[in-house]
Amino acid sequence: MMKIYKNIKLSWKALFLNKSRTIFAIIGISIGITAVMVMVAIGNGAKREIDNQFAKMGINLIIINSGKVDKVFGRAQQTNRVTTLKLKDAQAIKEQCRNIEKVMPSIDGTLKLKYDGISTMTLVYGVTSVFPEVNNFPIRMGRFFTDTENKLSKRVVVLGEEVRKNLFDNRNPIGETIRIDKVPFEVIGVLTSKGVSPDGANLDNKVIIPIKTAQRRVFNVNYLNQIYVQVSDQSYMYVAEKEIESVLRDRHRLNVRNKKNDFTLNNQLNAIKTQKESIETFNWLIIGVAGISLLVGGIGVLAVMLLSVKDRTGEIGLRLSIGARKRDIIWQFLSESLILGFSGGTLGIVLGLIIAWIIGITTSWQTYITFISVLISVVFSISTGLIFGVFPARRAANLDPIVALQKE
Amino acid sequence: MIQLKNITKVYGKDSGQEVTALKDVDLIIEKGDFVAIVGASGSGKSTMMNILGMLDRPTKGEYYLENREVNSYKDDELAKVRNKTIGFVFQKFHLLPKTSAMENVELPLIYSDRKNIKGLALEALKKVKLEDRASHTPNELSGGQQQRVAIARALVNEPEIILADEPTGNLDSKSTLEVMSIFQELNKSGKTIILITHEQDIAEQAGRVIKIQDGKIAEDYRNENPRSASEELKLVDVNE
Repeated sequence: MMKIYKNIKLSWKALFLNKSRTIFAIIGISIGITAVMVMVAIGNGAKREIDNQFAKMGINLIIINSGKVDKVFGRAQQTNRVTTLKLKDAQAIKEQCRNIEKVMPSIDGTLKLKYDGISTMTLVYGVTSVFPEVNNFPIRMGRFFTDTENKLSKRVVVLGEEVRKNLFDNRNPIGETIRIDKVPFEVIGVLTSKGVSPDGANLDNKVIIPIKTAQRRVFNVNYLNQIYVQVSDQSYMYVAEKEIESVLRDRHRLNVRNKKNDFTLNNQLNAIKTQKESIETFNWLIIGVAGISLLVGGIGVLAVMLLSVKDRTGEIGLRLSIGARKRDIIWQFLSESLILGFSGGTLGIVLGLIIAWIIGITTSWQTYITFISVLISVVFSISTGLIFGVFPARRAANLDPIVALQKE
Repeated sequence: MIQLKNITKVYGKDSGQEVTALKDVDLIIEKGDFVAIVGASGSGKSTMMNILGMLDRPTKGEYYLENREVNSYKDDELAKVRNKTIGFVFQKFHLLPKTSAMENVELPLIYSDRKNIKGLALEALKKVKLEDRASHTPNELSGGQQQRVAIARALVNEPEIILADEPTGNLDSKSTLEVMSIFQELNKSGKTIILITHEQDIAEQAGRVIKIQDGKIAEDYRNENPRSASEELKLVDVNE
């Protein structure tokens, strides 16, 4: 115990005698640790954000898109829009598939909205009365439309928060009439704000109308873009998908000549998987940055320690001749490089915390620091000190005392 | 106490340019001896010192320290002997810079399991009459004082043998007498002292003189009446 204390005291003293050298080595390590801390904090923040978003949406949804869905610039987008998906398909899924809670057909398109001289382009979303539950999108003000209103193709609209803000500002929108592509609609409710989705779309910039109204009076079509299917339990997800696929293939007569699906099934488990994969990629990036920056920091430690051994050759010779064992010398220099690593790590963690905090409050990126990331940083910095200190320490311990004593 | 049998040391065996520093040296040093090993540079006296201090191993021959053959010691055991049995004093003092006299004296104790490190270090400083300089760093001390700190460091673990390599080589005549009088006193109190020097003057103050020439012992005699350094020091003080 006494020895360890003596070693640490001795190392501090030696490091203190070469202040600038020591400071450079510490900064070298701390930059690496800071970089890692900040990146991990951003990664963690993104991961939490995604988890939150999916928790908000519910992860028991299967989404059927008409046609094919491809990734365009990383975002899932419909390509080859087809007109084969119908309201009757939604009905059939509801009746024929097991383990299904709710089915919501939908059609959407971006149209011009007008109110009191203000106009705006907005996503118009035709759905059924189950929308607030299926998309986990509660009403903030007024009410949602009913099944009857849908069946009667009533011209009623529920506004997204962003649209309400744009058109009505502080006024009460309920009961007002807005025009969607020149067709008048009565505002009956406003949705709760949800912000931005994990893939960057603004979830509040849309208006919701009954699907029948949408088909007949707005888009003037008889097909759907999507069907949302809420499965009663996550574990039935893949079974339900298979059943939906067979029902739709049957109804669309795709089995006759073994045609390809004219629809695409997507479930949110897959979506989450995709998001997690991109986080995984980010994690590899972090590991890369960590590796490189700690290598740089480690080389700093190596340089400082080699200089330290060179400067103190005479001292090492003396110590060996008055009874220091090789391992005493090794420990003396290792504790020096460990102190460098530990100090660099501590400084890096403090800087990392500060920078992550600043990023968190000044940018739209969320940052989140876990105890584990602090712990990993400490372990990383100490092991950098250790790994890059071993070679100089061994070199010191293996000096021939006779030769070492002749150096001054 | 110390017995050398047929000690031979050859350097440069690998390079092919062999230099024989010591040739078949036989020597016995008794406990309580004050031996001056004298020789010109290149005579082999430094090699002798390194072998006696176990910093180097002989090419051939046997070295018995207190009846144990030194070649049988492992590295860690050698370190222990250097720590406990032998106290080293060097020509260039080899004090740690920017480190107080006290801490310099404590150094050997760090590598032993002794308790009361401060007390022992202070006691050793008292023996060289430097207890009032305990907190001074080497650059605040004169050459003579620095060497006395180094002697205190050699004494602190109470070794049987003091091995001094040209301890007065860097000192003026007064400091030389001071250091020599400390060695004589230590010898009187029972310590075995082995002193390497090239100055005949210094050798006259030792009880036994061994002259080395071309790697061999050329002369080995006892001084019946060695010069007393403390007496001469008084004369110097009076003259001043």
